[in-house]
Amino acid sequence: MEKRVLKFDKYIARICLILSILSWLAMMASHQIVIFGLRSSTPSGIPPYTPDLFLIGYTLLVYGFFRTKLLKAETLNVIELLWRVFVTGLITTIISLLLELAASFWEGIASNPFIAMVIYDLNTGLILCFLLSTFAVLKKLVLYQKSKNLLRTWRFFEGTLLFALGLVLFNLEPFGASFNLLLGLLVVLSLVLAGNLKWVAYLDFKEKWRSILLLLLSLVYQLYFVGYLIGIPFEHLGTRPTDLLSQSIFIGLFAFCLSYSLFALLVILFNLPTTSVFEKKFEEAMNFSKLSQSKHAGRSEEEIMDLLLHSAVSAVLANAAWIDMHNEEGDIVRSIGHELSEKEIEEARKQLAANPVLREWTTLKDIKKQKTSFTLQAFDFGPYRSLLLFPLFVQERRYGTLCLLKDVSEGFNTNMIDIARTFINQACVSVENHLLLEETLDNERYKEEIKIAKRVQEELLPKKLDKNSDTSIACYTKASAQIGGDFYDSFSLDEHRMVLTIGDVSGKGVSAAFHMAEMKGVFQSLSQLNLTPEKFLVHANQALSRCLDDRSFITLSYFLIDSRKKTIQFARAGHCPALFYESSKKSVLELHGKGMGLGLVRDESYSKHVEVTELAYKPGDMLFLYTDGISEARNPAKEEFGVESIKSNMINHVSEKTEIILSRIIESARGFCENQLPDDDCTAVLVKFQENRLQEKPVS
Amino acid sequence: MVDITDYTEDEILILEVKGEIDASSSLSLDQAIADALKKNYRNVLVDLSKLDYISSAGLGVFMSYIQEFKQKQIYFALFGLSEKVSNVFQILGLDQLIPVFPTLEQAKNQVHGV
Repeated sequence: MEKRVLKFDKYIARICLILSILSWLAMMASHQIVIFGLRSSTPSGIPPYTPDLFLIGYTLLVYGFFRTKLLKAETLNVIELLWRVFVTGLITTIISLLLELAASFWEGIASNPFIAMVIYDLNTGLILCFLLSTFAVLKKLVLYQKSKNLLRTWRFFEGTLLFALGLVLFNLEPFGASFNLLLGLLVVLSLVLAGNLKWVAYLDFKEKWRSILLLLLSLVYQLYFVGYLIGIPFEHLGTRPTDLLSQSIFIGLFAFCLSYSLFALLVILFNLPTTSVFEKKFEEAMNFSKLSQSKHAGRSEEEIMDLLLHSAVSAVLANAAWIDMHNEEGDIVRSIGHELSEKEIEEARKQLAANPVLREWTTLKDIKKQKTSFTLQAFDFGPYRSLLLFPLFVQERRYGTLCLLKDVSEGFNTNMIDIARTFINQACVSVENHLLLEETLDNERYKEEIKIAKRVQEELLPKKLDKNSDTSIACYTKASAQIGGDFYDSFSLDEHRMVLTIGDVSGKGVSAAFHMAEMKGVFQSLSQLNLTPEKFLVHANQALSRCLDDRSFITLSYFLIDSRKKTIQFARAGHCPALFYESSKKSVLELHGKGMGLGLVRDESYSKHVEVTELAYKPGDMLFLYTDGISEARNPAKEEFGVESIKSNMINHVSEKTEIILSRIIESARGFCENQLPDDDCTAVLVKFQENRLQEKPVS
Repeated sequence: MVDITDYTEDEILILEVKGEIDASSSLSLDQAIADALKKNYRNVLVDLSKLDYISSAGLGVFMSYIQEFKQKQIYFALFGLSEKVSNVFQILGLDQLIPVFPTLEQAKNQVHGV
């Protein structure tokens, strides 16, 4: 789209150029005809205003040409714009001078009224060409960073010029009252607009010098042309054509171009001495923005400090500087130097440490006072005569020290110190952000690892338990927010006998998860050995005694269900007693019995604490295994759910399916806690005994 | 939270434990018992009458010191356990390893061999 517009502009520029040449030719031709008519005393047959009409057309078309040309050059900078004025001026002046030269060389020919008229028309064309190109460029400069008001003023100015151009046709009496009024308005507007020189401030030192040169030359061209116009020998011409200097439009244009060029020249000239200050301020602003951006760019602390060092050096015009970065104990862990070697920094540091004033300052108890800078206006170290020291504080901790050195005494003024402090504050904020980000990332990483540990632990718990022909088993487990150590598992010893176990590792967190994994390993390996419950616990205790730290233990209940003998053998290693529902009595029994947690006693004497109990089951009986997360689930009033509640739930839902009974118990416990997150793991396994589905055929 | 204070009575160091012992407060219990060991008393009793709750981590702390008390031949016992806390000790079997008495009097009688 843009490309097409550009192309379109190109055509417009070309058309303007061709038409302007044509109208210039037409103007010249009409002048010739008028002269011929005057000479031969025969009416030329063309209206007297014809040449002026073409002059107006030429003016508009040339302006149109330069305007369209400049539209394309949207991105041109000031120097390039002024360069255009200079080049156009150079070409037109040279041609004009050559014409003059030729005229004086062939004076005879040049005095011919026809030839003289051609030369005059050529010059008029050149002058207008230069004037309008300058006008188009200056328009761009005036409207640099335009405001609405400025734009309005400019449009009014342009409108007035257009109006004045139209008046060329009416041959207003030069310097009459209305002429003066119009001219006065144009001059006032020119002077008002000439004050718009915002672009000057953005030029650097070199650019300012170039602008001065270019403006000076274009002023010379303008004055040359004005001089030429004043000195035109109209008496030599065959007729008296429209004098440009008797038309308000052209005087106005000259007034504008001259005043603007002159103003700009003077303003730049006066701005020259302060340019370095502006440049410095600009650099400071750039440095500041770099420091501010550093928190987004994820720079390292050292990069930020490096940036700070260079920003501060340029802000206070220091000759040398260094930054010490401290660790939390206050020791220097890293130094970055500017124009200073490691050795020099070391020496300077020593000298500072010996300075009594500084020592007093560093031992200030009040951290607020310490946060301010410290200046040694008379400091003698190598070629340096003054020192400025800034402590850097990040997260209320002394993070580092910035020392700036200068080779003159009393080299730092308050203005510099303020700017440097701004840099330091920004850098400290950047470092703080950087550290916070790191901390957050670390936390995230840690959380992620906990999540993984939790998932691994959950995968260690079987989704489905082994069962035999007599049992229907449902299980439930829910880990707390932290990682807990609940454990359950099953193992089929043979067709008729299966082992079921439930346990709880002491403590919480990752260590509990590890111990639980150990327990799983111990259970799976010992189960293979087809041990009695007693032997199993003794061996498990022995194995775990070597694995567990001295403050950890595991509680466990071990059940051996024999579907042929219809018995349950169990041993309890410190785990909360399982519940056994007897359908014949419609009551629940707590399976106590002597027991001791695994890992509590770490020698052979453990076997003395193991007690194995055997009981018979009938179809309809139930065995409920759980961890204390369920029985000790607490409501907001800190009351426990309790074993009795479990018992009544078992009795109430006895006729339901195994899974349903289990979920009723869990729902009941959760309802009791008012759906609060339990602060412990909850695990439960419910076994319902039923008629053997694979009825063995009676032996005949 | 747990609050542990100690005092001596008849050459016996008595630790009074108030509040709840969970995973985090078990660290203060650990510290208190370690400090008690350093004081070189022949007898150390722990008053658990104002203990409302003890987690497995807290039980682990008591368990971890059994061996050390035995080695240093220091008599170590608990007394005044609430029914709930006592139940927790019994289920785990820890009451078989550490003597538990209903009252301070009974614990002291044991110490003095009455």
